[in-house]
Amino acid sequence: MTGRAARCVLALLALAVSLPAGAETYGDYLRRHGEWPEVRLDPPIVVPGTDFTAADGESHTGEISGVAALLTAERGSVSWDVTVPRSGLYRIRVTYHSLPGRRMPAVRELSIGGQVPFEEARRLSFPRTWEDSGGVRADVRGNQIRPRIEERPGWTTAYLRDRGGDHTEPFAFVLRRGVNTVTLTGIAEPMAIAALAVTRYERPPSYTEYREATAASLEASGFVLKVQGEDAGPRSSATLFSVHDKGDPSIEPYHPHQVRMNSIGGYRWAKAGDWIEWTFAVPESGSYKIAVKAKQDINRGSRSWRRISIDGGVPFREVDAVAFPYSSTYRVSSLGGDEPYLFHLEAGEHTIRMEAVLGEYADAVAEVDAIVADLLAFYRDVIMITSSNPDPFRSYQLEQRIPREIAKLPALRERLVSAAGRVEGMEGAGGVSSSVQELVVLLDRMAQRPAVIPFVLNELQNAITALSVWAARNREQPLQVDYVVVASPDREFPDTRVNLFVRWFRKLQAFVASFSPNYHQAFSLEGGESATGAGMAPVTVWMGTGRDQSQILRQIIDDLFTPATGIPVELELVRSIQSILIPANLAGTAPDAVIGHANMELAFRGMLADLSAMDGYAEVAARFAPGALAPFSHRHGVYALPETMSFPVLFYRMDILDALGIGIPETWDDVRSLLPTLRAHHLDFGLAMDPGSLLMMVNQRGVPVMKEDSIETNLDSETVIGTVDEFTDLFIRYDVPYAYNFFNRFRFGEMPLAIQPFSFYNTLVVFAPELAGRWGMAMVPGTLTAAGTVNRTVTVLPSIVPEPVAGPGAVQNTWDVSSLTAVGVTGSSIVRGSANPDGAWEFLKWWSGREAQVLYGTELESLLGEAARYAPANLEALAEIPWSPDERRVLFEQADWVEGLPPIVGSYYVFRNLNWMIRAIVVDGEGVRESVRRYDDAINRELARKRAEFGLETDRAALPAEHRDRYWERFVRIDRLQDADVPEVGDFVPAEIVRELAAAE
Amino acid sequence: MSAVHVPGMTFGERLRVTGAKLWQARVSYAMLAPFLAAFTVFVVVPVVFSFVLSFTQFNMVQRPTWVGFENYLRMFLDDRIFLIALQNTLVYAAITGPVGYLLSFLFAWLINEMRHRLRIVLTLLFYAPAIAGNAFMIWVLLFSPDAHGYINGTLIALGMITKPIQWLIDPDYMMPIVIGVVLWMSLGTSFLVFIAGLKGIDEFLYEAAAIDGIDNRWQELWYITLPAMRGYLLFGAILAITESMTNTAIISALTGDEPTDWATWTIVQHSNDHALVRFELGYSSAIIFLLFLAMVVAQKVVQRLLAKVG
Repeated sequence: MTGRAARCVLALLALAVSLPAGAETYGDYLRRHGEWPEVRLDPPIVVPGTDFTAADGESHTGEISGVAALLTAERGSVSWDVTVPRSGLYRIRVTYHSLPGRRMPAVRELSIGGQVPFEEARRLSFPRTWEDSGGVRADVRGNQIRPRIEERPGWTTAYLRDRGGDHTEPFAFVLRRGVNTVTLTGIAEPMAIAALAVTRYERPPSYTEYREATAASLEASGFVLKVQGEDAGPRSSATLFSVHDKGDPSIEPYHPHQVRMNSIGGYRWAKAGDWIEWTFAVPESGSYKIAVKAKQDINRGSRSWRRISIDGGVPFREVDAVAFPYSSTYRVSSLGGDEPYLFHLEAGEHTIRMEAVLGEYADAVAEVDAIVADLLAFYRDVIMITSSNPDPFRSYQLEQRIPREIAKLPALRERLVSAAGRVEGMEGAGGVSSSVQELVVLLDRMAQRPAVIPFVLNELQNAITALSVWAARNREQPLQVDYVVVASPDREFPDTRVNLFVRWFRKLQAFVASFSPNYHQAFSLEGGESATGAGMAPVTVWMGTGRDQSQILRQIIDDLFTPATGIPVELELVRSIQSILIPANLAGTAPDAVIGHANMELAFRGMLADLSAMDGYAEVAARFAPGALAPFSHRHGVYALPETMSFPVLFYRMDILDALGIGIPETWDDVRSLLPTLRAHHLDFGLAMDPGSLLMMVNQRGVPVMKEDSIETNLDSETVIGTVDEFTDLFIRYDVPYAYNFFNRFRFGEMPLAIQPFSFYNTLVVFAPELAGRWGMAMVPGTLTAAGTVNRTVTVLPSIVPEPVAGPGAVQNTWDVSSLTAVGVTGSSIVRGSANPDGAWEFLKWWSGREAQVLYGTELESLLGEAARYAPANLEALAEIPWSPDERRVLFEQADWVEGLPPIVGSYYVFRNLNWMIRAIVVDGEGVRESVRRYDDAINRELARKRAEFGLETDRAALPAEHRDRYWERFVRIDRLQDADVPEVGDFVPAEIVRELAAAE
Repeated sequence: MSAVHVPGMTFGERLRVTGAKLWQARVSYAMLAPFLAAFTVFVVVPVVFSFVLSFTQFNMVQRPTWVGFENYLRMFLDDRIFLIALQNTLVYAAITGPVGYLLSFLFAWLINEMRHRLRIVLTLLFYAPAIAGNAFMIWVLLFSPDAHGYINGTLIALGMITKPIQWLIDPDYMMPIVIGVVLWMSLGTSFLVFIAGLKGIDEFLYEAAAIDGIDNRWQELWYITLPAMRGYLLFGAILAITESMTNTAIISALTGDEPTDWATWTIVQHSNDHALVRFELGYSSAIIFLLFLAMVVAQKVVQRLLAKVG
């Protein structure tokens, strides 16, 4: 290697180190290569998928529906050599077929010559195609039930594009003359690739050009066809299903009180890139006009954009982005307005596809996102010096400590003004102006007088939030379609106005009808029961979640359970099951089974059936993480099957940790050694100050919190006292905050590390899109064992489906305040004395099984979106929930360390007092040992009283050996207590402590 | 109940007389009937039932077992938390009851002196917290334990504290905050009733009193205003007693259902806890029955006191 070349390499290396790898965005990439010519290739260079040059992972060649292809696995990369005649810009088109997986789009990273050309190429999406299966059905009341959506197998050819929709044209890649190695690396989901094509992107012609080219086309006549939205064919997402719009009598079909699947889309059809396709036929060749009856009643003051393609291509530029303005009612929008565009259609079948695009907003929205990211980085740089609560009496000398960051402010301001100006030009005043203006003023002030920065941090934070909310809203392109009309130019589009009297009459009908149906019950399909359930006793099941959930469950029961077993199920939606179940039991109207609301208090009182005595229990029990059954096991019996399970993991902001040079902590010692660094930059570590966290740390020492049969606490053990000391010390000496809003602090970077239930993952994905790629999930920090290994145990407590709770207690005590998933483990039980325990058991077996759980989780996510991701306790089902491989690995590793807390007779008293003990030590500064003693005593006294009520032993020595053994068997990694660890009862207590205890009581 | 012996009448005669009287007033009884039926079913029966339950141990799942006076004995001899709750309830009721009552009256009296427009505006202003149902939730927000909470954030920004104060979980602050918020909310129904009462006093009374030699506002208040609205005062007092002894919505919203070290634990919470969390309905009934007795006694006392007004 010559000296010069070596210097070049060194310079390149230095550049690569100073810039985070591939930090360049596509916009920058395009600007940098703007002068490169776009090469016209005719025909395109096609590289068959099977001609790969290198492949690792489990990729192999195969054949799918007669096409030879390379089947690539979820992980691993595949390379092809592409030879181009000239250097220049090329577009890449991929012909792919999705493979069975987790119903997610396949995601691949593309690199050329070993380098990822720009940031967006790290996550190229290859969506699956979906369609309705089985048509619309009706239940016994005549309500229509939407068809299930299933994947439509088939080959798709698509350009590589930006999945956020910021760039309307496909990506252009720089390829050099000669051989280029194109590599696709798996990020998510397997897929088969038949061919890569390197080509040029043909921009659609203008309407005038289009008309000239189709001048021979005669105007068709006497033809009007409505293509109903709900009759859509293929679509890009499983959430794009037909919906029931009951509000508008003009909609087709309409019924005042029965459910009719009569439209499609709505807020679910809002993400750029999501498309729906309809098929229609015209009788004669000729020119037709097209209109869409749709409404956009979600984003007030803004427009939704759709790209219209006919038969797979955009016919002319004018329909590349068609705007649908805000409207509270359905409107027939003609493509082309008053002078409709004429589309030439040959006689026969055609497809029309509408794809959500950002339209004119694209550039501005992308720019605002970039500004938000820069502002967040600036905010973080500042608070690392000043903390988020700066000392007003201190001068922070920001202009000397971060001069470069401050110097960038005026430029940021200019970018903001220009982006906002562009949007305002489209939208008119309003919306954007107030939040942007506020921010502009703020940026001016900060740039002119950096000393003011510490005083305006709150305003800055609020302004950034407002801006990012605005940008996120403008990314949403919702549209609900009733029908698409294809008509000959001589005919009018249908009139959709509804007479006021008709409207009122319809409302009245709906009102009158609202008195009759029983909304508590989710009804079976028409003919469903009579066909299969003859003679079998029905099972009554109570569930306590929302209506959507109950309808999903109803549907999968009718589809899978009743046909397979012949057992009809009466599913009832009951609010606050906990308080209603007991009176219902007294009154003899209790159901056979209750799902999601296992309550061990009822089990102790003999109200729940012992499931371990049921047929095939062992097989069913093996479905769950080993620790998940412990919370429902008391002595010989098991009183519930786990349904959902959520446990804590460690969330981290990799950008901040990288900037500070901190790694992800593996142990609590690591946490303690990184906390000074964090605190020096005024950043926080998030750990809930509650018994849950304490339990986790105690269990990580291999010690239980309760002694055998939960007869008394283990707080008197030296190990536990030591752990309490260690735990409270984090709050006292290491300054971990007592209370915090995880979502906000994590988003703004104030809390780069936090232990939170994994269900927060989805909240972050959905509500903090600007953080994409900057954070991750890892296993919780563990405790170093004597053997040198790390014990990562997390403890799960029994839980119920969450209900909104008020008060600071709620914010303090629950790990989770914003998620839809219960934290801990929820369970399903059979009520003892049920008339049909065998049927109920069959139902529970089926419900906790892989098939039902996966289907339920999938339907739930497609109905309510990613934020509602289901967390089944069934591990086989969890494996099929669409987590990406990295996250799934973390979840499964952590699930392996789940330890359940066995039920405690009198558990309410234990948690209260543990909570108060922590508060006494941390908030009031009481001594650890005295506090532990005091609360230990209080708990044990109540436990003894409560156990006596049940006729259970209160003396540890009197506990039969079988119950001791049972208790230890519940644990996965916790060892049997050695008596050496337990001090003798009646230890010497110094007189002053005795007096203090007396005074305290 | 044992039959009262009325001289000179046989049982049959008495029955006839009573029947005749009932028949005479049949329209009135018919009109009373719906209320009486509802009152019996929803008030009398449950009260009697809970009194009976208070002598049992009942977990709502299995049959109740008779335990005699054990629940009542346990309350005073073997339940130190009940004693804490009793103490808290007494402190809380002793402050919020009378002070809230006096505040309501004082503000009603004050407002009554204002001009019409101003009076309407002020009435609305003072009554607003009570009318807006969960208005006290704003205090939950203000007293947030987070360093970014309103009060903590302000105090930190002013340099008065360095670490957020755990307002609603630190026993030192809990009871005072609760009492303060309840007083803020106290201008409720009784405030409106007092305004109505003050409006209802005949102006002639004041004129006559002035002629009779009343020469200052205090005398006017004591000799005319208060006696004239004795009925309203009694109603307000009964409300105040009931509210201060049984209203736990604000307390549990502020300090949660598990207040640190029982710092704001009241009798009603203790009873609820035993019924809903511990499933000890017998004990819970006993507690409530005792509270019921205490309220009856308190109302008798207040009635006596009010009789002395004027």
